[in-house]
Amino acid sequence: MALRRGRGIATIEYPTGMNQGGDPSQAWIKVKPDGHVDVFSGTVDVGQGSKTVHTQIAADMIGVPYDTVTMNNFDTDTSPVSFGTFASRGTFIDGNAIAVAAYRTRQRLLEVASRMMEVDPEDLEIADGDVAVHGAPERKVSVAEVAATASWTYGEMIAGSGAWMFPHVEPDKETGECEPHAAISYASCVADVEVDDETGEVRVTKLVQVYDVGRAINPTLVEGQIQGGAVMGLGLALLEESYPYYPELSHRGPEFGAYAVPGMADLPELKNVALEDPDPVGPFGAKAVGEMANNAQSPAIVAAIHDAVGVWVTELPARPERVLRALDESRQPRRDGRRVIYDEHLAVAAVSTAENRAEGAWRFPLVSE
Amino acid sequence: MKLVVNGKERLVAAGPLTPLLHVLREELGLVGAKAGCQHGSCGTCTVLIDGEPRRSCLTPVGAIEGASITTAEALGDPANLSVVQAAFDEHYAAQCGFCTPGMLLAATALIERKGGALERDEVVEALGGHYCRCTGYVKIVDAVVAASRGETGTRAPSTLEIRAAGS
Amino acid sequence: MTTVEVTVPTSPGEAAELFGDGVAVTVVGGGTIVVPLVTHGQLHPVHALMLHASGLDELVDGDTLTVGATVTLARLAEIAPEPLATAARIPDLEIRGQGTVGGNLHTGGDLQPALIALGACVRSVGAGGERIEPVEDFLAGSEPRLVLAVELERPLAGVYLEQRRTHSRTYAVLSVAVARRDDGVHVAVGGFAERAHAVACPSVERALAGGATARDAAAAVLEDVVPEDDPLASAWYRRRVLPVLVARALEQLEESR
Repeated sequence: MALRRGRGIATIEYPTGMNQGGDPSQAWIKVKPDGHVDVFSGTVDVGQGSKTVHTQIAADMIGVPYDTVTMNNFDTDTSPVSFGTFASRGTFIDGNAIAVAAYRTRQRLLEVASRMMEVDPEDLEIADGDVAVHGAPERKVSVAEVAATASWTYGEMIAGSGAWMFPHVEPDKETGECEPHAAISYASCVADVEVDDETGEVRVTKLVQVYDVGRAINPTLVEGQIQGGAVMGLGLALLEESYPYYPELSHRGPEFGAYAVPGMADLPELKNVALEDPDPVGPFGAKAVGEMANNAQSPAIVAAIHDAVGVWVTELPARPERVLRALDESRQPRRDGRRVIYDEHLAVAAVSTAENRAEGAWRFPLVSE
Repeated sequence: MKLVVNGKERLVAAGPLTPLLHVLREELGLVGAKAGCQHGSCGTCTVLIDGEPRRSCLTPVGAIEGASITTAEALGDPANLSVVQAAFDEHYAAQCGFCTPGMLLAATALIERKGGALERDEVVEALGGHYCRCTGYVKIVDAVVAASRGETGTRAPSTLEIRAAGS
Repeated sequence: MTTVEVTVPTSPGEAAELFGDGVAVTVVGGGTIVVPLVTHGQLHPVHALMLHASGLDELVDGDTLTVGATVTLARLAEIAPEPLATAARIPDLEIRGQGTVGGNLHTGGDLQPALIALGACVRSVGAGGERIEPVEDFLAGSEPRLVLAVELERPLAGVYLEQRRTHSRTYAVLSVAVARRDDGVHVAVGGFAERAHAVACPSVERALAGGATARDAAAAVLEDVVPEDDPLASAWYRRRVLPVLVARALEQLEESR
């Protein structure tokens, strides 16, 4: 028996939202006469924390304390349009719609404060719930006073609305060049594994994960996505059989307990890093981190298995049986002709050497002769 | 038959083979314990029966006549969270929240039983049969360890390492 | 909706009497097996015999260990010798506190290989009255029996290995128990087929007695069981790995000498 150790690395990219004009979102903000801010948005917080992040975006953009902002998304009829909570779009696309609405709300606050204080709006700023004169912070009125004066003196409600979507883009007919997405996120994962070469069991001992999220608006929530994604990725890599596909159910076994998902005891050591390269379009520079968080583990773990025992597992999950079959296959004497499955020479050479491509040994399968 | 549920004596009409889970949710209107797999495999229906964590989906109510049941409803309320609840909140240990009631009760019983600071592997041993699909477990274990040490009252700082691109 | 007649005996004798010949009786011990089946409509009990007050939870720790049918896995784990102690710790903490020894003798229980390797006997009642028999004979029987207790003697050494899934209730992919007793090394395996009960491995035991190495003896396990496909693993995988697990268990037993 031998427990063999290996390390693998994988790098991925992931688009933010559907884009191409496909997933618009609106937002609407009003300020109560007591200065509290209500944000109306159509996203659903399923625990990932979009309400928190959107509250942060609205509070920062307007210049009021976080605790004075309330997110309202409880009713489909009264909510502005949001294409939904999917495609890793909540922070970016709904966040941008909220940022636009918050910017306009701020502009209305400044205009009303300008009338109240007889100061040019350009010379005013809003921070911590107060509207103050640049360079003369003692000359200030509170957002609550501005909102109340707007209502009871000038007969208006301070509000702002916004919407955001990435426009449809056609590829350049000559070059095929296209910019279909507003933002692409990147990530890398390094996996350390132990492979039991007699039973095919794989244990992931450590995952180091680096995510370019543009800007981590809320580091705790970003980390929650990365940690949760790591364990989902672990399940996809090693445990969760989904073939044969729905509606065929035989892979699931007779009950929940027969469908293996990672438990607490499977948790590897995790090191998580957010790399901040602010995006020019996303709110405060943020990009997506939702779905991509479970993508990089499988290829990294499969590469680590290869590093440990010298075979490629070409179907997921890399359950013990697949690892053992790959090991058996690699011990078979080489046969004539192409052998693609588990042939590490072909598998690596086919995609990695310029020489191989130059000699025409490998052709992109979609290019017709 | 009689049960003492969250300190109050309740009369139960359900038949003796009815799972405690169904009695709590359907007869007594206490929906803190969640109906997850109902095979005993997921842990979200866990409640305390005479202080011991048990799967309420596996427990025939007829076998626990007169027992004292504690559900998530009895732990605390938003204005007055229990130590474990506060630790879960401060550590962002819940995302969708479906597994949380069972986690909270199992953790509460564990801390009660051990009566001191817990190591991470003790938490994994005791809560390992509870499944979570959102958090990746790290923050749950963090929260239970913090609660066992009485380290609550402030929001836990993020442990995410943040680096500027190019660094 | 059918009516269930539920009886709650308050002594072992009353439990045996109410069980009778066991026909159409559903025995409820810890509830971990029966309650989900009822919930999911897979079992419709007519007469349910609930054992929680039956007094069948006696645990006598002497030269012979006598374990009452409703002793929980948690209590068993505290006092049992290997390989039984490890087997009793397989499910998670909460299930251990609820699942019973008697229920574990139902299909696929984790304790079974350990009990067989230890040469445990089962005392039960049913048609023909009370009897005591080796655990593998009890498991192979088909008529309804009410388990009263399991009796076993402490071995010289024991090892339990299981290829496990992390879920708390699912049967094992493969499990192996080995025990050194006064008369030699005993081997039993479980989990080789969906919900099959565990079996003894006489071929392995004979090879060991004949002086074979652990690896060579373990290979004989495939003469004793026929692994099958199920959602957890294929028959191919089980055939490949079962001898490995048996060999490892025997090697660990050797090291414990």
